[in-house]
Amino acid sequence: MAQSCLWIVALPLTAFVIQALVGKKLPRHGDWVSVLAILGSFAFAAPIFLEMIRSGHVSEVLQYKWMTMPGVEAAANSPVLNKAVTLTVGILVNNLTAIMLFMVTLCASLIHIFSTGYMHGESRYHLFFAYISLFSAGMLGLVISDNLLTLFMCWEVMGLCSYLLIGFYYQKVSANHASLKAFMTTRVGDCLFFLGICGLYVVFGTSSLSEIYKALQAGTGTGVTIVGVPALAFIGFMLMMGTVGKSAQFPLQVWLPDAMEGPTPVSALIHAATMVAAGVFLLVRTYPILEKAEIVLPVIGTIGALTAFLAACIALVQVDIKKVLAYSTISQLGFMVLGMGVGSFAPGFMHVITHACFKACLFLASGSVIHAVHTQDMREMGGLRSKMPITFLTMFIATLAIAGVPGFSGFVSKDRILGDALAYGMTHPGWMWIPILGFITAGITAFYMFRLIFMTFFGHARDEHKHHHAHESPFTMTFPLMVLAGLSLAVVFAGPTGIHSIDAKLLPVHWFDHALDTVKAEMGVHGLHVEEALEHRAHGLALMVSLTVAGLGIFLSALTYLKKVISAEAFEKSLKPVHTLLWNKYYFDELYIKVIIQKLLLPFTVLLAKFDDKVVDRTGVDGWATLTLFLKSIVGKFDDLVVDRMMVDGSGNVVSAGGWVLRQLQTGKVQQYLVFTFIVLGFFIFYFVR
Amino acid sequence: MQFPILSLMTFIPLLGMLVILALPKDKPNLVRWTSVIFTGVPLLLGVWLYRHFDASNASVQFVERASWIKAFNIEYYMGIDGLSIPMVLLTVLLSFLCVFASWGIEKGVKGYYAMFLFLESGMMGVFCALDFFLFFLFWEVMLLPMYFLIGIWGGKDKVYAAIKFFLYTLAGSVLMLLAMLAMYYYSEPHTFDLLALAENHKQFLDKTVTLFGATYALDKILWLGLFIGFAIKVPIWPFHTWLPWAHVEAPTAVSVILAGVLLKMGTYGLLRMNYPIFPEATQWASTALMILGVINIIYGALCAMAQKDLKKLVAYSSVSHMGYVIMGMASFTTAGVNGAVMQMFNHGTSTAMMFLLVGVAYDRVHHRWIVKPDGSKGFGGIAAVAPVYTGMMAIALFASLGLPGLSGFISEALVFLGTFSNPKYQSYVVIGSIGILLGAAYLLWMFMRVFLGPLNEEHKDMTDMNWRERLTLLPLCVLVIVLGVYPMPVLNLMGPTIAKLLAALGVA
Repeated sequence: MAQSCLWIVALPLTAFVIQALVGKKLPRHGDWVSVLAILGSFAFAAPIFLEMIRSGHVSEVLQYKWMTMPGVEAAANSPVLNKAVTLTVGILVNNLTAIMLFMVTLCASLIHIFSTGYMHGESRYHLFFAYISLFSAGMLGLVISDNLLTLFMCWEVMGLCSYLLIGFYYQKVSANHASLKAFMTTRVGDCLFFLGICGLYVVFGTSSLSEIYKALQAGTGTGVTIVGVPALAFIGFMLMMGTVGKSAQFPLQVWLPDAMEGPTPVSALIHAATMVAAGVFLLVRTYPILEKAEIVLPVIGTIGALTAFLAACIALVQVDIKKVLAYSTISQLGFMVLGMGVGSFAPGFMHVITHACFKACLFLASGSVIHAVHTQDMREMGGLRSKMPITFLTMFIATLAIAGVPGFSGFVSKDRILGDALAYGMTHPGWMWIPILGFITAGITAFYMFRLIFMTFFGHARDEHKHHHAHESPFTMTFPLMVLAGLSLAVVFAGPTGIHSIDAKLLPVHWFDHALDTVKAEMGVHGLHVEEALEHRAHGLALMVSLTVAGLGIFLSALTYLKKVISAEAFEKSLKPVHTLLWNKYYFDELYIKVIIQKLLLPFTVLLAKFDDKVVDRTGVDGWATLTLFLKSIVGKFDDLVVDRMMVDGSGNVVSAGGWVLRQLQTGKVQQYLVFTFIVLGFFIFYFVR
Repeated sequence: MQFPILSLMTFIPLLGMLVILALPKDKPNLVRWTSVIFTGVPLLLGVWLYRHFDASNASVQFVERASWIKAFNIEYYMGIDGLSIPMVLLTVLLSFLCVFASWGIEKGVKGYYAMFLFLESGMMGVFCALDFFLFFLFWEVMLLPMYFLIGIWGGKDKVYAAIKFFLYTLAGSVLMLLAMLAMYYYSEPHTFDLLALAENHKQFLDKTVTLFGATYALDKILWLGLFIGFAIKVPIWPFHTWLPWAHVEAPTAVSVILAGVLLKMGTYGLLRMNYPIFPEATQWASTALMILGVINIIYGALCAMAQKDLKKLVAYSSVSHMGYVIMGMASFTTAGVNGAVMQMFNHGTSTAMMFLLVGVAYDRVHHRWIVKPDGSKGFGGIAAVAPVYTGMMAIALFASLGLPGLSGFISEALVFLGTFSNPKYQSYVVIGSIGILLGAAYLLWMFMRVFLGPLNEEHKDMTDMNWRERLTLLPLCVLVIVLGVYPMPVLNLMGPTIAKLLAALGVA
């Protein structure tokens, strides 16, 4: 089984090599190479997934030696730490892996197929497929990695692909800026993440997850400190920062909206379904560590809640269809992170999967719309429902899912997260605002998503010309939409409605919960522990509240954008400062780019380079040369004037000069002698009388 | 006596120099191909050496030893261990590739290649010599061709740069010479044998030396003398300012050798002499060394960010990257020191790529401005006209900034892992990690300004890389990728030697 995991990664990787080297010369520019490769990966992933469904449990670890460095055991109190070092690479297959592999290969396959239609006729078509193949290999490698070092490698390979794909239209200045920003922002998180791995290595002597799970259960890691902080807390925070960067959480959320400069399938694959979710997957994988590092979890919850709320607010005012989806992605990732923070392990992970499906569907559908009308501005759309029925229907289903309507997948996971968050808030009243922010966000989400649907598909066409030319997309593009819409139904993950009390009677088989329970025990994850009665109460209450806010959001949205009873413009005017704040994304870009980079960092580097040139080099180094030259001229002059002229010639000169001085005195003038006498007399008087 | 492979590798280029000097002046191609042969043979011998080197053996191998100047116990003593073999391989590989990179040189071809081969001999000698006197001889001899290569075939301020390089390095050499003589006179029996000096390192302890009326511990003063000599070569801040000058003015191939091989001689020297011969002084200085390493990383990166000249940017990035070597060395951990030596090798390949690629652009457009001095764009959008060139640059650049999957990551990761596992230095790693961030920033920012965006009309006729250039870069490209995924082929060579070195440090 673990062997077939190698194939899952190797196939897209091979496709990348082929595409990068000879893709241009292949028929159809080799898109079929990439598509076949990812379908092959899917074919290898499916049996693992089915095996997990069948037996409820898959578990396998495979390790290979990667780097070895010999050493000898150091003597006590030696300043040298020369123990031998062995780093392994490995594969860790458990239920989480199986689910992720299935989801990633499925979404990736569909997006590959979609791309053959969407990217048709682009120059550098073959490179596009090369990049997404490499990306797929990276993501799949990350999912199966046992060792955090290899996980980190794949993590960065994805970052690279993200960089390349955001900047795919490399002649566009905005695309280049966006790709640079994405790479640099996530790298801030990556650096800290790497320090976390270093920390793990120091504490556990390994970075292999399966070994760390075991060591944690045996109690390793408590009582150790790193830079003065309890080791596990240090590690936990650093891992968290990795997630914050990759999953675009507050305060590193700025890169994701700009990343929409890339082609739309990329947005769907990388910036919605897989790569950004990898950040959350990291939390899932390292959850036993986070649980042991107590303070970290509430902080994670807070970051998630804040991100979810802040991003959802921005989505309210966006007019670019992809930007709305981008902010909704940040917001939904916030939900996942929030879930992880409050101990809602299984629902949090479930939201990764459900979100991947419905968000991929939303992005691809938006791509289909953009493909048809050649604009991303929703103000130029409208009335597309009849022109693009399949796109409309699938996007509508996905919207119902993200809005949290019962019967759709998003509801299942989000409702559970909110239930757990509420239970957490009830037992930890100091963190009550985490669930409160969560509920508010759920309402806002429903509102802005329906705003998107109404503005795009309903009403009359605002741009007749564009509307006229719009048409439904080809089958290669609508097929993936239909599959993904199908996966946005609640029944895929739980019962038909997603409401536990009803489903228990209708369809009591929940493969997901079953799979997660097993893996939790295996990893040593505790999750949220509250009294059953309280949990029941919290979940009941959460269900009511989330249904109410979702309903309210949809209702208000319909009033505003469908029936136009409420005027959006008037509302906007009355809340001008808020609108400006949201429109400018809370001025984060200004703070980071204009202030920190342009006002502080760059001038400082220029100053330092000047210092290096003028002070260190021209003064500190060339100064020696100048000094030497100066000394040379002094010594030369000294030699000429003092040694030669003065001392050698001087001895003669002194005699003649002495004669000359005395000659001047012997003038024969009485007055002059008198003056001299008085001067000498005065001198004597001054000297002796004093 | 066994086959004198090290002497052959060292002196075949020198022989080549003599042959070239005897060739007619008007046949530049004959000179070029002769150079190919006389650098190719050492490369082949290097491959043989790699295959026959016993990686599990920590002591010196392929030893050649003969008495040379009896009166002073000076020997002709050559041999390599796990520390020197990666450098030897790097030297023969880069020298061979640089012959091709210099193909476009038209002025004084004969002299150029003669000097170049002379340089290779010097470099080989430095890495193989085990007698300090012999080492010093090669060390000094190398300056000569370098001086001429920069001073004659260089750019606008070539004479200034060449003299600066020469005098600066010479100043360091003087200290080294004094230290060498002192080591000779304080050792019992008097010897220049580096291994014997390391063996009897205790003889330098508890002795003092009086200089200008003040008394110092002998081992510390000798350590410092050697250190400054090597630090100038590395270059360690604040002795680094000759480097940007030399790089900017030197012709492409010379920059490659300078960054790829010469800088490593500094760190090699520290590991070959300071560490084993003065372990106590090394411990005494370790924190200072660590601080200097961090300064190198951050300072170099910040300076690189402000540069407007492509080559200067790469030069400062070398300062930054050598900082990782210093950091790893000072960490006193297995992973750290292995990472440091690995970084010496990996930086050699990635920075060589960078310089070769900068040279490619320079050959075509005759400038290297990212931003011209008048503030206008120097390049811009050349990805559109030179896709292969852009791709190669991307690989070199991502290897340089330590992208996982490429070689730079492995060594930086090992350095960080190692240093972090020494509780004394954890906070230094936290600060040093800023360097990783800055490294990505200046390189990608450069990439954006030079290669991406709308095409600068000035360069619309720029041609892509030709086959000679592609083939020159290909081996490095392959190395960067292969060692990034599986570093053992090189890591394997050095392990036992480093274990032995660390053990010697630890028992102090």
